[in-house]
Amino acid sequence: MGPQINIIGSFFPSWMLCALIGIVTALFGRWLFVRAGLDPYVGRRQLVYPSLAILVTLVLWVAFFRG
Amino acid sequence: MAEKDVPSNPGARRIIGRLLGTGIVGAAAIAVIVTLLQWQIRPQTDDATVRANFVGIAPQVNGHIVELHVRDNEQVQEGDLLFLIDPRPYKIALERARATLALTRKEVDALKNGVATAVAGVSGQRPSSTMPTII
Repeated sequence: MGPQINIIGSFFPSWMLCALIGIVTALFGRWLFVRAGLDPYVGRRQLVYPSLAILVTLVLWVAFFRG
Repeated sequence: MAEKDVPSNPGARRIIGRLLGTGIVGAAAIAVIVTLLQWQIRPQTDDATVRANFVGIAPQVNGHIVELHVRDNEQVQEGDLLFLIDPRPYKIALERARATLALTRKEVDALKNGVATAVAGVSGQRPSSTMPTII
C-alpha cells in the first residue's frame, strides 16, 4: 500500500509517516489556537482537530506519494 | 481555561475561530473525497504482476534481418512492418529466373523460325501444281 519509507533501517508505509505528521500538526494547531485565543470558537474540538490531522495526512499523502 | 483564553475582542475572534473550524472540517471532507476518487481512478501498489499473452511470429521465408522497426513491448497494429528481411538473394533469384525465361523464349523463337524454314523448304520441293497458295 504505497511506497515504503526507510526510517533508520526499518521500512514504514508512507501513510504512517503522513499520519504522524498530520497528528503532530493537529497538536501544534491546537496549541496555536489556544495561544491565539481562537480555541473556544472553532466549534466542536473533537471534530475540528481530527479533521485537521486528516486534512494534513491526506494532502501530504496525495501530494507526495501518489505518483 | 476557556474563560482565561477569551481575548479582549471576542467578536473578531469568534468569527475567525468559526471560519477556521468550518474551513478545516470542510477542507478535510474535500480531501477525503479527492483521496477516495484518486484511489478509485488510479489504484496503486508496489506488489503487482501483469499476465500477458505471448504470440510467437515467424516469417514465411528465411534470411538476415536488415531493418527492425519495433522496440520491445511496443504496441503494433495489424499490417505494421515489424522487420525487413534482406531482399537481395530473392532479387537475384528473380533476375536469374527472368533471364532464364528470356533465354527460353529466344530458344522457342529460334525453334519456331527453324520450323518455318523447314516448312518453307518442304513446300519448295513440291510440284508447282500442288503448291499451296501463300497468303
